[in-house]
Amino acid sequence: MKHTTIILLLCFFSQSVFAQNYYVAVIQGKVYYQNKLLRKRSKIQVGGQLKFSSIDDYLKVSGPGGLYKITPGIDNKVSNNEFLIAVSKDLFPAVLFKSTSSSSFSITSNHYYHFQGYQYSFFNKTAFDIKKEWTENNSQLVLLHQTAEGLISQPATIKKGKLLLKKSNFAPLSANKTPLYIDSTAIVYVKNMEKWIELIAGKQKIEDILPNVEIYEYSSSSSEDSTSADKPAVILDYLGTVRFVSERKFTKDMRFFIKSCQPKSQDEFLNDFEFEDYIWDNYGNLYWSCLSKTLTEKVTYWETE
Amino acid sequence: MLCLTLFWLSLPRTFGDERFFLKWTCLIKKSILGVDHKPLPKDILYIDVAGSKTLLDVPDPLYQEMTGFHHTSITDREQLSALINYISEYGENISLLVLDLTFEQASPADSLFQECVSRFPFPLLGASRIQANGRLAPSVITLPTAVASYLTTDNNFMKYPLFLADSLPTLPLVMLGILEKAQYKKRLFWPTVNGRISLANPIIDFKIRPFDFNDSGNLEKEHFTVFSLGTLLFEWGFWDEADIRGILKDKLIIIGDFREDVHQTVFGQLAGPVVLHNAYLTLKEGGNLISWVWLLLFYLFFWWLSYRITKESNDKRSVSPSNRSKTALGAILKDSIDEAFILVLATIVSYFVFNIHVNILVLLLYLKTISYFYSKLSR
Repeated sequence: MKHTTIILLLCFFSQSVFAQNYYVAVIQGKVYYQNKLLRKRSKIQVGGQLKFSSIDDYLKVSGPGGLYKITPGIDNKVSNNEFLIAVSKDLFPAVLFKSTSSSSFSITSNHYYHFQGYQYSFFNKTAFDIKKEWTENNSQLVLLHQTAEGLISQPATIKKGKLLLKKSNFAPLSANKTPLYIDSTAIVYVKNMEKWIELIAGKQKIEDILPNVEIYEYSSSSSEDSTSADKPAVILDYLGTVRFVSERKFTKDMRFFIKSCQPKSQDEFLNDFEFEDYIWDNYGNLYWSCLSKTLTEKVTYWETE
Repeated sequence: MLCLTLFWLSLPRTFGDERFFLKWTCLIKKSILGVDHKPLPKDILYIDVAGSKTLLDVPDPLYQEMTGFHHTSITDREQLSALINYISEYGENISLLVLDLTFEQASPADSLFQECVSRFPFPLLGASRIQANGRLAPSVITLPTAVASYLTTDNNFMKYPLFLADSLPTLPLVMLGILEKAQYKKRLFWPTVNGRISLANPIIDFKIRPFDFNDSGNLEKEHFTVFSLGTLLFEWGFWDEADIRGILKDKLIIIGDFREDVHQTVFGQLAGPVVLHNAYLTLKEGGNLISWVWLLLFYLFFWWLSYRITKESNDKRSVSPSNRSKTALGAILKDSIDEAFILVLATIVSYFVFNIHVNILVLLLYLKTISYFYSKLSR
C-alpha cells in the first residue's frame, strides 16, 4: 500500500440541489473528514474536506442525493460519453480466451470432493478430477441416489479422464417412468460390480450399506490412500439435493451486474456489493469453484475494461 | 404504404435488425446531438425490493395442504408497510407512488400492509398481471392497479402497448393519466390520448438507460440511484429527520424488483420498473401520438419512393444517355439513393423530429415486391 495523504474537497454534482448530509456506509483504509477519522455511519456534509491516507482508500456514502463511491480521484478515468462507450464496445468488444480443447471446464480439488452432503448448484457438465485406478480393471465410478423408491445406482459420466456431473445423471425415473426426487447422492468408486449390485439390492438408504463399504478419507501424510480389498466399493463423497443452473444465463446475469456496479475485484463484487447473497438467493449454493472460475474466465470486466 | 406503416406500427412485433437502427439513432440523437429529455435524478426515487423477501408456507402441490415443506419467497410486506409509513409521515408533494409489484399470495402481514395502503395520503398505483388464461391475477391487497405487461416475440423489449386484454390500460398509460391528467380511450382501430390519435404499441424511447445509473465514483456526474428497501429502512434509523424529509420531497417513487425483474433492451438489460418509467416518459413526450405533419411527411416520402419506382421502370425501357451519371462518384451516389436509403432517412427524420420510430424492413419488402411486379407489368 502506498502511504500518502490525499486531500479531496467534497463537492457533489448535486451540491446546489441537495445541501443535505451523506452517511458513510463502507470505508476502506483511514479516511478523515475535517481531520476527524471517519467510521461507518459517520455523517459528512458537502463542502467538507476529506483526507485519504492511501490511494487505495475509498468511501461509499449514502444520502438524499444518492449513493456515491468516493476515491482519492485517481482511478475515475471512465469516459463520460455514452456514444463513444457504445461504439467502443460494439467495434472493439472485449477479447476473451476461449479453449477449444474441452467442452466444459474442470475443477481441481485435492480432497474428494469436499461436498460433505450439502446441497449444491452446478453448471451442466461440471468436471472433477478422478484417480486413474477408479476406472481401470473393471472398476467404475457410480452415483448412488437415495430416493423414495430406494437406492438407485447409476454409472457416472467419465470423459477425458474427468468425472462430469450432468443434469441427466440426476434424473432417475420410478418404475412407472415418473421423475424421482433425490434426497442425497453418494459418489462411489466400485471395485467389484457384482458384489455392489448385491449390496444395494433392496436397500432404502445410503446408511444401510455403510457397514459394508469403505468411506474415503483424505490423508495429508500419505499420497496413497489405502483401500480394503474385501469391501466392494468406496464412498468418495456425498451430495445433498443437486440443482443445475444455466451457465450461460448466469454469465449473462453477472456481466450485467458487474457492468452496473463496476467492481474492481471479485471480492468487492461478491462481498461489498453483496452479490454473494444474490447468487445464493437466485442460483442456490453455487459450487464455489464454478462461481470463481466463471467470474474469472468469462466475466472479465475488471481485467478488460 | 401509409396504411401498412400505421398497421405495422400498431402491432406488438418488431424485427431484430431494427434494434440496431433504433439503438444508434437513439444514441446519435441523445449523446451526440444532446437531445436527451429526461427527468432529473432528484425527482425520482427508485427503490429495489429484491433484497427484502420473506418466506411463506404454501400448500403441497400434490396434496393441496400445508405440509411445512413447501415455501415461496415474496416481498416482505412488513418492510413495505414500514416504507409506506415513512413516506406518509415524512413525504411531501409525492406525485405518485408506483408499486411495480403484484400481491397474489396471502401473507400474515397483509392486514398491516392493507391498512398502510388505505391510509396513504398520496396517489398510489400498483401493478397487475395478466394470466395465461387472459384474466387478471387476483390480488389480496385492495389498491388501484394497472396492467404491467408487454408483448414480445423474442424476449426483447421494444414496444409497450397502451391497452391489453381488449381494453385494460397499461401501467404507463395510467401513470400518464394520474401525473399529466391525460384522458385516454380505446377506440376501434386506434387509441386516443387527450383526443389525439395514438399508436397502440409505440416503440419506447429509452430516456433512462443503464448508462444513467450509478457511476460509482464520479461525483461530478449526475446519475440515477437505486436504493435498496432494506438499506433505506436501516439507515433511516440514524439519518437526521431533515435528510429523510429531503429524500421524500417532490418525488415520483417507483418501487420494484431491480434484480430479478430484468428485461433485454437495445441498450442491454434494464430493470422492469425502469422499463415502465421509460414507457411513461415516452408517452409523456408524445412519442406515441400521430400528427398530421407526421402523416404528411410520410406521404411525401412514399410519394418520392413511388415516383422513383415508376421512373426507374420507365428508364429501364428507354435508357437515355442524359440519365447516365457522368462521373463515377455520381453513379455511386445515384445507386446508393435507393429505397432503403429513403426509408432509413424517413425513419431518422421521424424519430428526430416526432420521436416515432418506424419499422422499415416490412416497408422495404413491400416496396421491392411492388417494384418487381410493376416492372414486370410495364414491360
